[in-house]
Amino acid sequence: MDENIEQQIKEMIVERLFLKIKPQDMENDKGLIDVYGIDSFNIMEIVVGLEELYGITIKPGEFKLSNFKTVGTIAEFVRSKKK
Amino acid sequence: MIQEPFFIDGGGARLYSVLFMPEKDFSNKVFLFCHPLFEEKKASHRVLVELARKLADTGHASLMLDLRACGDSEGNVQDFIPSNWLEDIRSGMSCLQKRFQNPRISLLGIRFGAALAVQFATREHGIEDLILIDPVVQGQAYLNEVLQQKYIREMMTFGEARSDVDAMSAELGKNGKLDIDGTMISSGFFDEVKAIDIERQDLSSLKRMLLIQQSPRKSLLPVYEIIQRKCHDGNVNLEISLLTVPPFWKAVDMADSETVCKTILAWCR
Repeated sequence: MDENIEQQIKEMIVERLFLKIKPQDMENDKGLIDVYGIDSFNIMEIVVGLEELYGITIKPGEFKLSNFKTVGTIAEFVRSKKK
Repeated sequence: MIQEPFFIDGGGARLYSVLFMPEKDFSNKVFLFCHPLFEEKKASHRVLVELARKLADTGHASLMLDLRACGDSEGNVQDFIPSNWLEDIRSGMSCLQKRFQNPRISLLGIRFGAALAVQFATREHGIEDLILIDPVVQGQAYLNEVLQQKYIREMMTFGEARSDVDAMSAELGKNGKLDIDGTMISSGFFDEVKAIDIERQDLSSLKRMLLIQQSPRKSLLPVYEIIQRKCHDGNVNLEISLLTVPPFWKAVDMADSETVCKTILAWCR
């Protein structure tokens, strides 16, 4: 399941944010803010989506923008939370 | 369609209002809009204007009222608490009752405006029905969301947040005020919002309600199951509309108003 995290995150982001792209067309290392136009409302939606998808809790103290830069950094963050 | 801007006297504060009226065949039904707060108000504005125009095309009037200290109405938010906004809704309603003969008044609320609409309609007589769009059900959860949003925005703007959610709550306790989206909010405001909980409210005095959920979820959010259960227990005629569209009150760009307008117009028929 671990190797699917990036794909699951892309599907969750596209669905929750109603993005007009296919999940498979999102790239792991492209900036969510600069390339996909993600804003602060959307980041919040992603946080809630990750909590629901993986049953994790993201406390404010754990929230760092660097974790939400790309699909890849989100996946790394999720992996570290699941350890 | 007639669009008439004016000010209502709202107990010391002039409340900016716009009345949308059909040119002919007025149904005597009037929608009083209760807007959301902060950035959500700005994002909702265009959709609400479009809705008011479409309602006018089908014979209904709408009053878009800026609550005190919001939009073009007078006042500073830090001087007010949500109960003052209930008075503003009452002022809007009185204005409609003076203007029309026995109007059938519906409240249409979005997010926090929907929470206000429920508060008002359960306390006052004269509301025919309610339309709630993505309503805030629990004030505490809403405040957490507002603070988290502020935290994320600071993070995006400055690369790091200047204070976390706990520190913001502490600042509010210490200084008695906190800046949210450029609006200074008082601790009294926070205390009153915190106390809002639709789960603890008796909805049995309501007759008819439309609950609109805009979400990628194809099922009702657990928090709205509370409203569903309360309406069932109170014999309120509830219709639920699950719209899998982006919430217009979150939109940074032009939001799609078509789906939500169609839903409301169909419910009015």
